[in-house]
Amino acid sequence: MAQKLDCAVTGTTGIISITFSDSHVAPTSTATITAIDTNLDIGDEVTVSFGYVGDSFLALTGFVKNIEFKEPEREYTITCGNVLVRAIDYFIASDNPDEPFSRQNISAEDLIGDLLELAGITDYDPDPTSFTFAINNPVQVNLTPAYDYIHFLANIIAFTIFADTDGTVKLIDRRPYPVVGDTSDYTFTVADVLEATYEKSDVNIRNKVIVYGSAGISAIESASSPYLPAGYYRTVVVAAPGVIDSQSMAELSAEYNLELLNRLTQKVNLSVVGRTEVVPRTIATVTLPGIGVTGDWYVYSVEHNWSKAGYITNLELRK
Amino acid sequence: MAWTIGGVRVYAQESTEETGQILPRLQPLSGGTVIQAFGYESTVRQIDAIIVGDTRKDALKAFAQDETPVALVSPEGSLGNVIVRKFQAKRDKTTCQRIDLTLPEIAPVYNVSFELYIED
Repeated sequence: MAQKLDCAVTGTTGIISITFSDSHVAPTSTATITAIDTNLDIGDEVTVSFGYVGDSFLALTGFVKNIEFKEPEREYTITCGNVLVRAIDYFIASDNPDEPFSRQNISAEDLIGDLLELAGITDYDPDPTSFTFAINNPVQVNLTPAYDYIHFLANIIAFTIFADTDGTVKLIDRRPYPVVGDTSDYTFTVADVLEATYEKSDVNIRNKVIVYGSAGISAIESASSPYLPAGYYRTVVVAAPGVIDSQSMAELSAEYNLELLNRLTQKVNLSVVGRTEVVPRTIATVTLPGIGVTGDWYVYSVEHNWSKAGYITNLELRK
Repeated sequence: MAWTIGGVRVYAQESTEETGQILPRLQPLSGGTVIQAFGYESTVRQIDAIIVGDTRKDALKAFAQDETPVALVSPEGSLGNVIVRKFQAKRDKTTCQRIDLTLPEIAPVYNVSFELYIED
């Protein structure tokens, strides 16, 4: 029996297509909708749901960023981003340059929460981080987009920041690969998969991390890589003066980032029959003996394409 | 009641209609084809007819240049509103017409065809 496609977008009718994309590293998920009619305007709150009749899912809660109206097609193209677009668009600029936003002796999650609040985002649910910033001297934040600084802080502690489909901003300790204790959220087999490719690469390996903190504070972590010559190091620098001002925090950051980065990149790109609920930062169990891929994989990025050509989900999985 | 399009009298010879579902087909690596349903295409009606007189031909031609829906009526009653997507006319080799006695015998006769989009 045919699966009947279904969708709903706030204030929009005659929907022709929806493309939704999100990834582990994207600052915000985005949805692009083409439709015959809409009463949406720039900045309006919007929800985007799609899938099948009886099996659709809420993919995005956010705001309208761009509307295009095209002749002769007489179609609207509406671009939406999730709530984190507020942090992307919010530029931190103190009214008085001598009194910038500042915090002292504050946990990483609370500092990020305060920066989100500047951008008007209060629906925030962080995991505890064990990191304390600006222990001895206040950290000052000025003349930067809020998201850029939040992303910088999240990178220091090797955490991930994103907004879930309901619009809640999360800060989680989530590595972009399966870790012990993960449980599978979806299963994909040859009966679901339209196309599949597998690749592995050393391009992202970094086996030496140097953290620069405030004056006199620094830390180095390194390890050998089975994919690089002995004694050969690819280095990444985490520069966080003013934020990291304790030796223990610098060492912790170096340790977290080395564990994150000293890895071979293994990727599987899948195109599957449209699957609702599939979002990044989850775990998929894959059984594709044809390309030698089995087991649990991390869902790194997702693109849902919903149109009269069918509903197809494209995924990038990593290990 | 007679056949009219937008109130213009036509002598319908053939009327066909067509509709269909949009059914994308996806082929997984193994197993059967997955069929999805994206709604359906509204009815398209094709009418072949005879018309008499240039006034009627020009009126019908104007419908094909204006997206405003017009009423389609058959001997059985209203067939709803239609948008005339396409109109074709070919003049018959006639010198005298007895089809429409309200018009002069020397009025031109045309074989015409319409493609009509039915409004849901």
